[in-house]
Amino acid sequence: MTQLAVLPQLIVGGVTVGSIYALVALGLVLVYKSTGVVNFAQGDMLTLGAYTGLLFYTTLSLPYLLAMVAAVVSVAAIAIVIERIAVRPLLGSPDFTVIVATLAISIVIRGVLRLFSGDYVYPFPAAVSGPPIQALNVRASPQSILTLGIAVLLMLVMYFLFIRTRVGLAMRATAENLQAASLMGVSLPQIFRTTWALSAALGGLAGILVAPLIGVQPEMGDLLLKAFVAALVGGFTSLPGAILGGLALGILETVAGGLFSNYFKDIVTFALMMAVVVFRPTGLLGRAAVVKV
Amino acid sequence: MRGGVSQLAILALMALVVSTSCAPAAPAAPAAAGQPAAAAAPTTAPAAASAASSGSTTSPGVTADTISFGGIGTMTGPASFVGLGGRDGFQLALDEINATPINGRKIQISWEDDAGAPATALAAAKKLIEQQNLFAIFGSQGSNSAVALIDYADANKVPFYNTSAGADTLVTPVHKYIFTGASMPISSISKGIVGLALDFKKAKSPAMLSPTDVTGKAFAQWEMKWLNDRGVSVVAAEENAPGDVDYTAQLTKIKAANPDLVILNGVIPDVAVILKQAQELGLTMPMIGSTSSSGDAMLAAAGPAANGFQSGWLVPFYATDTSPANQAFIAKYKAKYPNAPVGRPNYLDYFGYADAFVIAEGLKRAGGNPTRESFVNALETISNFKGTDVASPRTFTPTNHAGNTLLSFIEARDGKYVRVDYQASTQ
Repeated sequence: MTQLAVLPQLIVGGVTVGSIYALVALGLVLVYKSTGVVNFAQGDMLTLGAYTGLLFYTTLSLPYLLAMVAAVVSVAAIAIVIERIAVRPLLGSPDFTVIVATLAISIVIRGVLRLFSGDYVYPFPAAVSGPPIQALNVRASPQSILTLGIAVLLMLVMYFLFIRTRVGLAMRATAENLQAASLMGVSLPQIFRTTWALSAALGGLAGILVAPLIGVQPEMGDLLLKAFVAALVGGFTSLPGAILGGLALGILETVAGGLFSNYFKDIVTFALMMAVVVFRPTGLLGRAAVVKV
Repeated sequence: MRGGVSQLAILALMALVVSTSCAPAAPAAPAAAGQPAAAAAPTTAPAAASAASSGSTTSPGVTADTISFGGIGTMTGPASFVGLGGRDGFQLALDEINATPINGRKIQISWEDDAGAPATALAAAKKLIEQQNLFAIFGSQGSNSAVALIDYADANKVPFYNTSAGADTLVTPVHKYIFTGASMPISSISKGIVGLALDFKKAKSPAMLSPTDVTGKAFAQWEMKWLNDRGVSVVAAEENAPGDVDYTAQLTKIKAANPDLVILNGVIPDVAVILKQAQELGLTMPMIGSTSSSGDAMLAAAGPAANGFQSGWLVPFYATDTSPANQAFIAKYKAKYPNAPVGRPNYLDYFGYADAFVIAEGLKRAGGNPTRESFVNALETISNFKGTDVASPRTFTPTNHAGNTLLSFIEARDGKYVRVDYQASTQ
């Protein structure tokens, strides 16, 4: 009985952490959708967003909103450089090669951050502060509500971008068939650059939102693994799927952890992933890809 | 790649394997783990290295004007502050110690990184002892890697002095060649924490939240024992995965159990997040923690949510302490390491600094022809020794190789620490 009384609070907690997974998953899906590559450095874009946000706000004393915009733009710029140096030269290589390259990028980013900042956990100012909002027996911090709102909003923006704009069309075409898209006049370098910048900006924003909750340190990007499962559950090519997957994962693990044992948190994560792979390999909202030979 | 959701799943599993195998067993665990992770098989060094311990002038690592140590620290990965702090503190002390060489000899040390991995630590020990033929090992690492060296030190009669690990197995039973300095066995720290909870905070129905790594489990087991000995049982004992970002599940359960105090056995980044989320969820009872959750990084990361949080502390001063002795240490430190990152010196810097003086004292007492054996015998005569004002005293005897017995507590208050007026009994 007491167990069930805590259920609403557990669900709210799950939604909070789930919306963070969802934001990181959005970035993963974006890159995969347009370039067919899984970016293992996406988690580190989040870390970079938090560190640059801190730099602009605390060290350079810019106003909060300006500092955060500057941080997101900087992360996008860093991603453009990374794409040019480490990913573009691999254009046309097997996907797996590119994936390993993104792993390497991740390791380099963490190493560099640790070199400069050590292992200190920096506090990060919240975008919105104030006492938790309480309804009945359930409490939620304003920051978590904001995170959820932004995740949903960004999903809509990205969805619009993909479906309604020329850039979106070009991205989808590139993902579908690199050579054909190129022959049709799509500038591949431009598409790659845009995709990396956009997904990094998403990651950076996620970092700014999650940093007040968990603090800024080089290993923040570890969230990637959960985001990966979220994206997979959602279908990996579906933007609403990423949001849905993130929220489902967050709620499931928090409720399982709260009602049963903490050990269930990770068990349900990977049980969910396996169930999706076995019973619905395209994910909840993904579409079966047809490879024509 | 396209259509390869199952390929992605395989990748995810690979990533999981990579991330778990790279994760430190005790992430950022300062006075780390309590139990052996996996006892390494004893390996025997070449006869030349071990037999030399009985020689007079042919002791390995000893020349006419130097004594060379091997240092093993966790210097990369999330727990790198343990090794880097210990290393930098030790090096700082060497500058002072070597100004007046011990029996004509300066102390040298060459460092190896164990990355928090037991196997790497053992390989590093073999390299330092068997290839570089050094005198003894100084360790600034978590317990997982420290414990991996026990059998090696025993089998090869190599002195192993660890400044940072809290595993009870390092010192219980006593190993002739193994000593721990600043850190304290987890059994002792946990006894102090329980004392703070029951005697100072007057808790009657405490709850506990512990990480699932070996350090966290050791803390939880020992605290349960000390609580049981006092006839108190916990109303909730929750666990969390180290490095987790969300503790709603555990904190909600703890809140429902309505404890009058919560013991947090995690390490700094995690405990800071826990304190913040506990505040958001409306948990208002006092919270206390181990030595692993003390430090400036904690104050910064938790912000106002840290107010009132009391945690263990193993050195006489904390970095923000304004007493002259501490300020002198900080000035020396900043002079040698002008580019030290924020949060340094951390307490591991104090640990390494203090224990370098203890080792120097041991060498002094070992006489003009120090051998590995005479060195450990000399260490066993050290009683109530402080080589520096910023250390707590060390006492070793043939039946006690855990040098530090002074555990105090500090309380976070508006971004600073104040001392808690409670002296824990750890014996």
